Amino acid sequence: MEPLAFQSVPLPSSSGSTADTAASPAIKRDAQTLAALFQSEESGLLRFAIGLIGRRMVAEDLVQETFLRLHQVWDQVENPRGWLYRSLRNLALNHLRDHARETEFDEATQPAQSDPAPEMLGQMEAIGMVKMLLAEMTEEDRKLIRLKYHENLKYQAISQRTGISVGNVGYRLHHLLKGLADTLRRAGIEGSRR
Amino acid sequence: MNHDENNPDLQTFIEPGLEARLVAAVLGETSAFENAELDRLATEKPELAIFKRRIEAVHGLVGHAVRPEQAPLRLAPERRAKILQAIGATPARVPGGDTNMPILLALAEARRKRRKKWIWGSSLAASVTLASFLTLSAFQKNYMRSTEKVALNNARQLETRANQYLMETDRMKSVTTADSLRVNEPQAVQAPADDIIQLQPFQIEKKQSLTSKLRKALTSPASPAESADMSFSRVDAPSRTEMSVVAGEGDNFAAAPAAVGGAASASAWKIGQDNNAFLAPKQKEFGVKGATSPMNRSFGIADQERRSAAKPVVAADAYGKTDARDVRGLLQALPGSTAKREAAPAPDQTALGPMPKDQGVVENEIVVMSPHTVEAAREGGYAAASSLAGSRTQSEQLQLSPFSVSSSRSGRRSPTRVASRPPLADTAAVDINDNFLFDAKANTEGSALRAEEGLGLSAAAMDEQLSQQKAAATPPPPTPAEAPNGEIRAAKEAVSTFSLHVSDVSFRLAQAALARGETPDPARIRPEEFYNAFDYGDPAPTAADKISSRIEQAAHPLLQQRNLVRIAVKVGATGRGASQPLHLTVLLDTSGSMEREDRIASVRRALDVLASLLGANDRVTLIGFSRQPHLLAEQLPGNQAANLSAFAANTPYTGGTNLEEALKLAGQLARRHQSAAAQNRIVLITDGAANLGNADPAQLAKMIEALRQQGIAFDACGVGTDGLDDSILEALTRKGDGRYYVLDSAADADAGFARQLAGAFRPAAENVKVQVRFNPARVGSYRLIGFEQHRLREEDFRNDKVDAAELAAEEAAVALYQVEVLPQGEGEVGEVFVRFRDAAGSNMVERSWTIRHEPQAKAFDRATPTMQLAGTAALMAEKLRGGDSANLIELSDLAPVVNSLRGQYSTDVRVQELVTMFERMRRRAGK
Repeated sequence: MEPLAFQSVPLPSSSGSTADTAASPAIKRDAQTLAALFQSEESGLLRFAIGLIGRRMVAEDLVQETFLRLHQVWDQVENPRGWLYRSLRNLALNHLRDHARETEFDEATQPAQSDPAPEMLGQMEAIGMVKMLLAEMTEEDRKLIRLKYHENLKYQAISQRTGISVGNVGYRLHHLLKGLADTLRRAGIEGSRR
Repeated sequence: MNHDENNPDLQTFIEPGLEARLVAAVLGETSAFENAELDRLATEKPELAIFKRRIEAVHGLVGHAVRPEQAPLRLAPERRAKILQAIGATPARVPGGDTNMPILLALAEARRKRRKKWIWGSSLAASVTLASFLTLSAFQKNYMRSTEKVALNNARQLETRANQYLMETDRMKSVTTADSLRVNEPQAVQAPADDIIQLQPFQIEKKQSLTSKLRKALTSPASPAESADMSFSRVDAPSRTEMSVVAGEGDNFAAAPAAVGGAASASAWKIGQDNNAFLAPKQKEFGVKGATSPMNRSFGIADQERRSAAKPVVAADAYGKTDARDVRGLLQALPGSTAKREAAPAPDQTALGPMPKDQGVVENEIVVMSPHTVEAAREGGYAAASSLAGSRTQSEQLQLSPFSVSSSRSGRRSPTRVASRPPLADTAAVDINDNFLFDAKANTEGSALRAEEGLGLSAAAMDEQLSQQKAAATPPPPTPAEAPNGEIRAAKEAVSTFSLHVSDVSFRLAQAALARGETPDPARIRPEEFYNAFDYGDPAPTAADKISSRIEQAAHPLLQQRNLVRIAVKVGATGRGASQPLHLTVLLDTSGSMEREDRIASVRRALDVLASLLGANDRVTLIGFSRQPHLLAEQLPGNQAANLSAFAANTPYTGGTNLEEALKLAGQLARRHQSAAAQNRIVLITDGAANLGNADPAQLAKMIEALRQQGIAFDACGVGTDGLDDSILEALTRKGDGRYYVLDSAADADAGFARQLAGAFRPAAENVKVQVRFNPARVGSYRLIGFEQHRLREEDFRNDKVDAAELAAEEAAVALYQVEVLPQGEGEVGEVFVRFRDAAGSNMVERSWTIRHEPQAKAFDRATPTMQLAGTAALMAEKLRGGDSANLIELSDLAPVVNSLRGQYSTDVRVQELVTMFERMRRRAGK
């Protein structure tokens, strides 16, 4: 499993630089990689955090904290992207637990005008969870998801791309989605909203 | 895997193979047949439906998670700065003292110096790293050369540069605006900002006479770096912005924060030069933050975004009162600046629109007001964003669908789009209301006008021309593909008039095509026949009222700032009494293709139903026709009409279809038996296209029209849904003021069919015309969805010689408008006038109702079921019809509403058909 953040964020325009980066794995762990990870995940993480916490200010705190922590342990983390999401979630849950019984007068924890409506939070949380789970998948699985969702390929085309038989593509996507559904359910996310 | 302790419904075991098929269905892999099969299974076993719903939910979530985000969120600038500072140093540098935010350091001289060193160090490190795997484009080299020139200029040019910063400043502002507003290619817009920020240090540094090598090392990474980053996310510019803010703490970089802050005046910049006033740029920086973060926090709530678009621009203006003229002068004086900055990222941006358009950026953008140039922000964007109604240029307002309007405000792509569009859209704008009045006299005139409009005439001049053209009253007919997309500005043309023609054929045909696994022919999609295919249960009028109306509004599900307005009218139960005799001439197609068993059955059933509606005073003439028409029965009394199907059954079905001859004979017979006291109609029953004789639709239409003028109406009944020459039949019945319906199978010939026939035979309201007068003070623009072929001129509303459609007793008809309601406007939305001839009393009746202004129109998913049904049907029709706006209709966005419709109308067969169609459409779209 190659937990390169880039590979799971394939944008059409990225061809040139992705190739570059992939070609020089020796430097993939330098500051630029972490910076790139920050660039690509900042928004997703922030949404996730807002979805979990519901307060923009607190969410920003947590995201910042997560990145700074990742920086500390950068060398030991195998899958930084998954790590980010997982850590952020843990931080958020800790925060919720610690602050559950407090009466909050702190400005930062008060709902600000700009905070999203409650019904959006569930959606943001769910998407964040999915991102986390995707990041924690094996590279092969992620590739399937990417081909299916990002490039919008049919089973047939995916099969040609990957060399996996059509039936197996169907089988694996079936289990991937089902696994996601079950995990989300266990995490208490209904995810029925779109 | 199937059990979940919390949810008993999960414990049901589903056969893995079946599960996989369900997943495949959700992923759009299965055939229509397979889907139908699965749907059937799912209704039998609820656990399958539950499983499918769950997978659908996950499917949607994964789609969201994988898709690039539409409006990325960002941390507050100081947090980003902090993180970037921390991670930017990894792992080569020890991040000592990084915990302090740069902003806090602004006043500390000693720290500033240290910081400066750090910045140099880190930007050098960064640039070296980047330069090692990214190449510098030739373009950027040029750019550097030009900037070098600038930098080498003397003190007078300092002034220039100060202005330049101001420009950049505003540019940044607009960039911010654009960024938060939209979405698709933010990189493109942000990139130039990047460049300039990197440029500033570079220029000044030149003064400090650093070696050119260092300079190169510093500047060159700017664009490659951003291009690299952009490849992965669109969030880059701000991060660089933060870097420069940090840099600004160095003595030499006072200018950089000025640019970043986006709000520094020239004097602030100068002070910055003196190293004495760091506060100023810093404050500006906060200013920007204030401006941007609220925008970042908008989570795609369309209205607010759009409204707040004005704010940053205003702010920019308040800070930098540079005369727009000056700025433009500067732009011209610095040829390297605009065009190149725009174009610099081009090599890396495959997703961008064609670059050459950007070269014309100065002219273009004044027109379209894309926010990313200085002029646009100052002249156009400022004014336009602050008032939604007035200030958009005429051509834009007219031509763009709301989608493109909003994106042209914010999007970089807009110049391209606008450049490519004007001819099309102007046509729509001018002609849309006079749609079906064929007379191409003014054709050349019109096109000349259009060309001029495309060049961007002033609104006043256009007004004049528009009225001239109106006076000439002979606009060229638009092609159907053009008309549907145009919104009409209420200020220009506040009145919308049309004939209220009700049919559901287009819906039925599309439904049948989808069921066969085909894509419905876009030319056969008529949205009004989609949303009129349903019974909305609108209230019936009291006996005295003759006609009732129900008007409801909801926010448009997809478009920003648009409401859907559903106007339903229903005719009273007192139609023409059975006392008035009906003289019917039935033209039965007996060509070979009708021999199919199912069609024979359909026809027989149809004739039976027809016969059941006739009374003793009615007369029926039956004509069979193939190559030649032959009279099967003449003047048969209605009470003997049961024999009709027997006559039909004894007729051999063979040969081609000579509609012309048949119509001639029918016309003759109908005229022979015409009675002023009776209702005289010809009914055509056919399964296909005319293929013998003169089959020119225009010719046939003329015959029908002539008959109509003599008081004979024309209805058509299509049998079967494939091979039907839909457009001809539709046009013929339109000319004949009659009904058009299809009979797909014998089972269709049920009560609904009988009602349609009865409606055709006993109209309660004739010549039904609707006129909606919008209040320009409240409505920016509007669009009638559908009815393209039924539009009338404004003055024809009360001209009773101009024919219009009929409504049967207790029949309801719906018109759907898409309206831009101006929140800051005044008064009501408009008034609806309905005028018709009351068949019972034979006098003209006119009624009117007010469309009230609803400041808080309900969101579409919370609207009434009737509103949801009409809106969904209309959007599906538009999606099927294709075209630019159709691409912007995301079926998945409608899914929740469709699901709720499914439950809401669980017993309504038609609505369930619509739901099935929707699912088929989604599968076809591969979603």
